Amino acid sequence: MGVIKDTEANLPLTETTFYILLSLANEPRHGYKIMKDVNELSENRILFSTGTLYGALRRLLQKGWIERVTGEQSEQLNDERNRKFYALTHLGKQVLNAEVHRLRKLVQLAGLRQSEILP
Amino acid sequence: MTHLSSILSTLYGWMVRCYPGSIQTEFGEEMRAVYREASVDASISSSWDLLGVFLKELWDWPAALLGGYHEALSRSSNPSSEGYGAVIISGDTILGRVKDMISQELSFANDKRQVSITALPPLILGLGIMLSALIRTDVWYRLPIWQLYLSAGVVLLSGGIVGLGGLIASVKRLPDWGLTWVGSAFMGVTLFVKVFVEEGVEEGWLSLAPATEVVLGLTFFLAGVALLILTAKRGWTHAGLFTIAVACTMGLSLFQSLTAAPFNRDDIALFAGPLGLIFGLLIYIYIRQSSVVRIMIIAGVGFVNSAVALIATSAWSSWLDNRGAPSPLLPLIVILTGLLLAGPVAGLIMRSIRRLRKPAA
Repeated sequence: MGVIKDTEANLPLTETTFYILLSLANEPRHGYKIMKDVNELSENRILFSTGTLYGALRRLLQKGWIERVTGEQSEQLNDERNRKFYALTHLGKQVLNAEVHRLRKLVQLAGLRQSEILP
Repeated sequence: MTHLSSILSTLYGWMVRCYPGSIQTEFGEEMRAVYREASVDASISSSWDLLGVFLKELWDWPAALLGGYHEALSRSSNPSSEGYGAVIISGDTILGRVKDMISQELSFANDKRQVSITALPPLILGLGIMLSALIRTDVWYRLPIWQLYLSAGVVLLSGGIVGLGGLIASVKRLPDWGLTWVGSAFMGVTLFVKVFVEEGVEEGWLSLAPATEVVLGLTFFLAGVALLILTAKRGWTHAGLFTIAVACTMGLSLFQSLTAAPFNRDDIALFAGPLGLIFGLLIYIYIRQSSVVRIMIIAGVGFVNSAVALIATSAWSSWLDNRGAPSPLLPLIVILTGLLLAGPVAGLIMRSIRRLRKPAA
């Protein structure tokens, strides 16, 4: 219960944070892959510069929502260029889930009044 | 890699180098690699896309840089803080950080001979001005020519000694004892050239184009800034020593200026000797004592200089009143104090920048 409360205290997420966490949701990715993936997810609306991307990654690392992939897991990725990969932590997954849950509730709420909003 | 791509990559490399040291160490190489990948992909399309990638970086750079320095500052303020914005600084921490910031020793503080040499310039200049005033037993136009030359010679000799000391210190790459010599020599030469040019133009034996005057002024200004940066790189105490000497020399020069016509106030100029001694003693104590005392010494020099400005403007007042000119007291105090504080402030700023740019252990 306490963890959920802590997680919810961080909501709502900024759009940048949400997209980065979403990009890492199904697999670890390196910096450039995150950049391209977010660009794709946002339908070319969001294109990070390296400065913005690494500023956000630094903050997420500090919060413990993402981590650098090291050791065996890193070897399994078998990256030729030896790039650094980032992955969601357990806490990061919780935060992302909580945000998705929050957004879903918002959409549901909007759905209930949809007929009044849209003619 | 195309020529454009190579130039932009180099520029990007410089941009990354502007981030705080800890960020450079942790993410610098990675950021460069990501930028390279983005550039390679963009260059496949066109040079415009390649330029677009760089311009995007350039556009976001100031905000990213600011965020980086904010983060580095937050971390150094509270190393245990994990949250990005969770910075809590207690009163003790602030006091500790201020103490840490100002604590800096001068390497030669225990070498009394070197300390004495460092404190000499204002004393030499003060004694020169005082002796020169003593030699003039009457107003200058009633003096025999030898007395006039001797009086001027004494001032020039004292200035020459300080100038030579400054030159030697410069050749020896500015040792710590030379900071005051270079400071006094620099201010002395600046004021000498200013008076020389003004007199020359007024008397008609010198003609300077306005552009030349601007270039001359700019040269001295830039030289002063260069010396300030050079000394500030060593720390605030060193830069403080340099600017104390600059401010003291300017203060002493006010007494010298009172001896000129139409003021002819040799009686006031006699006090330049004791004033030089006070400045010398203050410099001596500044070097030998702790940082807290140094701050008090800087305040002391500022106070003495303000008193000097008050005396000088009082002596000029009737002449200024006749011309309807406002009192220059406040501007003088501001200039003297600004010169005095420029060194310590520049030193502290340099130290902060160096700390932030230092790579993380």
